[in-house]
Amino acid sequence: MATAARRPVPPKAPTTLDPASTVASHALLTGPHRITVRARAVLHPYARIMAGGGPVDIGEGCIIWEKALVGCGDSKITEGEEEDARGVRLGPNVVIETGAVVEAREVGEGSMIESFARVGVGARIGKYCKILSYANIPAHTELPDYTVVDGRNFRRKDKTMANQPLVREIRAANHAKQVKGLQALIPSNLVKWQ
Amino acid sequence: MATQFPYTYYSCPCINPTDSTLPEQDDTFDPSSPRAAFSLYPLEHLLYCTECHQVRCPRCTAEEVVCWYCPSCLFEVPSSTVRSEGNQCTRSCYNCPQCTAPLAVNPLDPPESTSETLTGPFILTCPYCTWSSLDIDLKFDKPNNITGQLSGSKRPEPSTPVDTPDPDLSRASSPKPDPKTRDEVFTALNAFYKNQITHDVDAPGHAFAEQAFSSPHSISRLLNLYSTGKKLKRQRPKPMSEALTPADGLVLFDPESELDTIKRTAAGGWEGTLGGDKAAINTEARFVDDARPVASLLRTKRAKRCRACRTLLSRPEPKISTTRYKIRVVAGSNVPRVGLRPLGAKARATAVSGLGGLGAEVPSLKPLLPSHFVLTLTNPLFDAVKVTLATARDTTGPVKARVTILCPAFEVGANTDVWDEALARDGGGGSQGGGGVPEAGKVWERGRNWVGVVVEVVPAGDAVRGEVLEIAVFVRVEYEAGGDLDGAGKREVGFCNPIWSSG
Amino acid sequence: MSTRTTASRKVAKGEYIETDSGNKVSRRANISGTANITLGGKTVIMADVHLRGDLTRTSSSSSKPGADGKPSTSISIGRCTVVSTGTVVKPPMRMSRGVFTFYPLKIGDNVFIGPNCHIQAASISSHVHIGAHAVLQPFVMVRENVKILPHSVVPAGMIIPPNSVVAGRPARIVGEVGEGWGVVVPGGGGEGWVEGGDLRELVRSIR
Repeated sequence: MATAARRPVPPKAPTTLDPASTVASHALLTGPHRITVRARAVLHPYARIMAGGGPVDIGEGCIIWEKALVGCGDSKITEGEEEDARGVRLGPNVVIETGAVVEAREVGEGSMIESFARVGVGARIGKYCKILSYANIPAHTELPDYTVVDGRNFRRKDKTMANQPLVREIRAANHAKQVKGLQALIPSNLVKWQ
Repeated sequence: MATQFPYTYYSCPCINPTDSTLPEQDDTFDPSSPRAAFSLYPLEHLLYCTECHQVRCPRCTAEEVVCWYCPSCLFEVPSSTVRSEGNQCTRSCYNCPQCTAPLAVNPLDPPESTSETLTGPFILTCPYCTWSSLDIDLKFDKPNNITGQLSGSKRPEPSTPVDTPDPDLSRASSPKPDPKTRDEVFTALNAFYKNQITHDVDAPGHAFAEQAFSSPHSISRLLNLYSTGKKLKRQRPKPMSEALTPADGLVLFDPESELDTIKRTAAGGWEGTLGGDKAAINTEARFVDDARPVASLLRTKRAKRCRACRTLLSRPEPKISTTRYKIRVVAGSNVPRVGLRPLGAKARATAVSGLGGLGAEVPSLKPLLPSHFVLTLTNPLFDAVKVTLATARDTTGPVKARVTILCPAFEVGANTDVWDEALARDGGGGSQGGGGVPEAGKVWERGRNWVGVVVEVVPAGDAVRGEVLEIAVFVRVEYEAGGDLDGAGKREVGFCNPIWSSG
Repeated sequence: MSTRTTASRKVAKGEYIETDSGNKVSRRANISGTANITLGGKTVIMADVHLRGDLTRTSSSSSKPGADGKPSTSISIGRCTVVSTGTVVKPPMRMSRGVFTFYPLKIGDNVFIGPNCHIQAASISSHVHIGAHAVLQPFVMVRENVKILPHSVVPAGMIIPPNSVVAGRPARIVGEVGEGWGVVVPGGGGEGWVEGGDLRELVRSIR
């Protein structure tokens, strides 16, 4: 990372990495708080996890693409906030695409944050949501399950996903296969971050 | 079209059609006048008529369709199909009713199935906003010929009996409510009136019965219908009547359906209704449940002719896969190209500013402080040309500035022998000048077929921050008799150049 | 942003590494899976560009794909193409016969890709201009002479026909490029290239 190289090297975060997870050696895990990466999660090269304001928990089967940023860089906590308020918890099978910035408190199962979307501090994203490219979710927003937010920040309910268990099943099965395919391609370097 | 900054727009002579023969009397061109927007184009959009020796903008060209094609599957559609099926793809190209993204056909196989062949059923899904045809209870048996399958199940039975499709259209008040789509109503009305008109045409076997719509005969009849009383009309042997029954395409207001609409709006709430922009692409639907996939509209390849003399200006090859032209006379190879860059920036500054941050390389103007820019003119012609520049002393528009062109008259070399410059570049700089202090009456720099002159800009004290300064420059090009039919000629190109101004 | 501002020791010996065929690859570009990437010559890869050549097609039959097999091209870029700073180029992936696999991404000649784009298209033909911050979702096919305006999001699977201008989120066809698209008059102070035209001059000027 060219930009990172010029800055003082950020401290390596304490980590709990599942042996079945894939963390590329060029991924970046920094911050004073604990970073947990669960089974079958895939962290692409140049994905950044910053546990600056609280612990970061990457759920099972999450995929975090290059240049995505999960977590808050700074540890400043505004008044009235809990100690861990700036931590991030990603549910199972969350996909964070290239260049997205996710500072949310929680992202629910199967949600997808597309490229260059931003999710503000303290936001809670429900299950099976889809935040499209360049959408901006302001801090402390709560999105119900199955919400689709488009690039103009218009919201819509994903009726297909909500009403069709079969579609959800297909989606989960495809996601599992995708994770499997990625794990075969991306060399994991857990030792570097342990 | 958003173009690279700073941009140059060229004015088409149609800005001032009456004066085109007397350009000397032209008033100062005002780029900020509302009319100017219709005649200012980037160079790439302008054609050139070699007969009229004029630039031709999209307004001054007549278009002829060479072929129709679907933008999604890139298949050519014969014009007969376009006439019969309408301006839409008849294969499987559909757009999302929610967001207009092209829909994909996906199998709805259970995830355990490992069979190589997809069995279906299939659904249309939007890869962008995740809308799918399951939202409106549509499934398909085959992944291809979606149009055929859609027309088979024209109106699927709604899942709940209260879900009456098309509340937008009031139902005909016939005993059994038979909601019609807008298309059906249109077809019925069309048939009804066409029938009337064909009956109206007195001569039996009238060859142009189809086209009788626009004949003065039928127009006067229609006018009569409205001006005189209906009673009178009825007594006539061949009366022209309005559609009276639902079969004719009459749509009556139905209070019930309006109530229904209100109920559905109340029940569905904000999420249940389509937004205004979405309703525009799906004219019949008001509710999310009614939003049906929209067949992708065809696009065309068009030939363009000069409106004045009918000369063919451009004609693309009819094949979809090729982007070549049989004929293409662009303005870019007939009028000088104009560019503007800050003085002191390297010749390639424009290139780099296009790559890095926008505006990073473009200095902002400071009120009352003179800034210098280099205006370059590149000659595409194979003859040397004499150029005279003129500009209004004070610009109009949001940013007021005083503009002076330091060297308004000069000659630009011919566009010949590319090798000269290529060799010169290796030797280190094919251009002369480009150093020292800008001086009035002197060309700043000069290349084989291009010249750069310095323009001084002094913004007024009350320059608006973050606005764009546009400078109208009047260019007069004179070229010597080249022996060919061009003869000695003059050409004027008015255009404006904008510069960033952030106070 | 600017490629010229940094004065670190590394950059002092030149921002770009030039190959025999004239490709200019920034020393600060992040390229993975080099063996699976082909550059046509005179192509510029700027700083902080990510080329994900490591995401190759997995052989569908065996469960152990990729690494042991011979390298297959996953990203091929033509001649005189410019990939600007911060752009991510990665092959698209989809399900094929029950396995998720990546498909090769092909970029043609004289393509300009603006800064901070995300390209996951299936193919981009020649003389295409992609503005800054554009997103091309998986399996987008861009045909010749297309202009994608900045900040557009081209939805997955969209086919952009030749000579069109697209913009929006999701992107739609909003117009056509003029007949003069890419026509450039040789010579001229710093005007040696236009959008959609021959980018040789631009490539030459980048150093």
